[in-house]
Amino acid sequence: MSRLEERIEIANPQHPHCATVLVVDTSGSMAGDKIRQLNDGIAFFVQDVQGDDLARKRVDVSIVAFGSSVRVAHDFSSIDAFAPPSLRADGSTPMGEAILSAIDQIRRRKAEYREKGTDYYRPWIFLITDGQPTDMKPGDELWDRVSREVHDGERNKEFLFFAVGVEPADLELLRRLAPPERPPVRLRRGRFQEMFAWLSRSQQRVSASRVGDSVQLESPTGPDGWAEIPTT
Amino acid sequence: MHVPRVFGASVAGAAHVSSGTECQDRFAIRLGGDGIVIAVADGLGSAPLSALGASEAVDAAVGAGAAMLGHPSAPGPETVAAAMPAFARVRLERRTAEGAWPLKHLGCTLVAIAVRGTSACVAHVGDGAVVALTGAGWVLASPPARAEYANVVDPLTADGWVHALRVSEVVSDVRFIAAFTDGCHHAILRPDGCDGVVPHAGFLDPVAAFAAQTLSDEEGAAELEALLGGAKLGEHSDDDKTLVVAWIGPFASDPPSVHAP
Repeated sequence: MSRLEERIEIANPQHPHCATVLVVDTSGSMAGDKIRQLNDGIAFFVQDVQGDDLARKRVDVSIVAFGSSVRVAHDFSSIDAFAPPSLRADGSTPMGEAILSAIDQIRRRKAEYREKGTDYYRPWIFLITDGQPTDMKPGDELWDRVSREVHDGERNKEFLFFAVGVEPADLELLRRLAPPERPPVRLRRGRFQEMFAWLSRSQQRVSASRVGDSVQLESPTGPDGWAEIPTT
Repeated sequence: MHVPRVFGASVAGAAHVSSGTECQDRFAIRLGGDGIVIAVADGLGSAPLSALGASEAVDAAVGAGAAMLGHPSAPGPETVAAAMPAFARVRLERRTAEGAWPLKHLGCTLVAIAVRGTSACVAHVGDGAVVALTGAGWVLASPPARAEYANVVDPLTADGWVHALRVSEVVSDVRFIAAFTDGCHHAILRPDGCDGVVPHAGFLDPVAAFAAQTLSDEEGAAELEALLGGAKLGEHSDDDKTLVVAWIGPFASDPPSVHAP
């Protein structure tokens, strides 16, 4: 240790943080294999991120689940303190309110970061759904509000919004909801784990990025990818 | 008349060490007339020639600044500091023209300081920061640029760099001044509870005292290099780190009432 190192005190011993909200469909149609794969995928994601020494100190995760109700299934915590909830499939698909809840979660988390003087990266909202919303439809008030918040949020760099449709999700409807610069993708059958592995690697890349870095994400839609771009 | 102690060090962060990438921070120091010019630059990770950009930027900045200070009718530190980034920018434009590269490939930030006597001024594009010890205590001479996200910055190579340029007020009665890149932010600046930062005396007092007492610039640089490359600073930042310091006075042989903290 240098002589100075023994004498100096670090001013703000904290890491920059990356906040991610998983917005997950737990409606009745997700019952069976899909909800099992979703739960397993989330558990895998948490374990994989925890395996990266830097990411485990920087990634913060929250889960908003929507089915019989919209609820914060897990409030924001560091990935180290994250205990994946066991999600159950039941009810309808209040996707609109769930997205608004996620955006609210992001805004509150940013306010906490600022209050504590914690640096942070641009947060992520990651929507996974197998249906179409039952609490809004194109052109109604909630739809207009949700699509405006999502599109403005992306345009103003408030967050990054990713939408993944699980069969038989209405991808055309998701395309209208998602930001134009980030259209939705369709999950290839049974590829939940690959999707969460991609999400883990992406979070690791973001959390390791430094000022001036351009974070290159792997394409999820390559020949061996977990998703495909819908053409119909 | 005492010659100021001016020295600095740059070390590659753990991320670059593990990837075999060279340190992309650069600094330069020049004495001119009755003054000092210092420039610190941080090459952008996304720019393939950013280390070259940072080298050229600091070299051009201190060269121009020293020439101005060495002129018989040397201007004040605010005029010198304000001019230094423009010279750096022109140098980068010339280099990219020579190499037929896009300007953004040499992307870097720049902190330029001019000191005359005990007055200092900072011209600043991007992150990094400058702090000074004055007769009234520690001051934040130039804060990091305000960007919401941890990996975002406006570099010297951006089209709108002039709008991102900040020139500080002249800081008077300066005894010690330090410039550093963002890899050192967490060590030197602490949140002020109002969405800003302030200099942390717990870090700076020992460094200033060391600078006041060190016997040579070479010894000082070696000690800074060891500090920047040590575990304490590496714990919360794997980024490249640069710290340049100048002890302007008073010195140990001066009357005891004006000694270092």
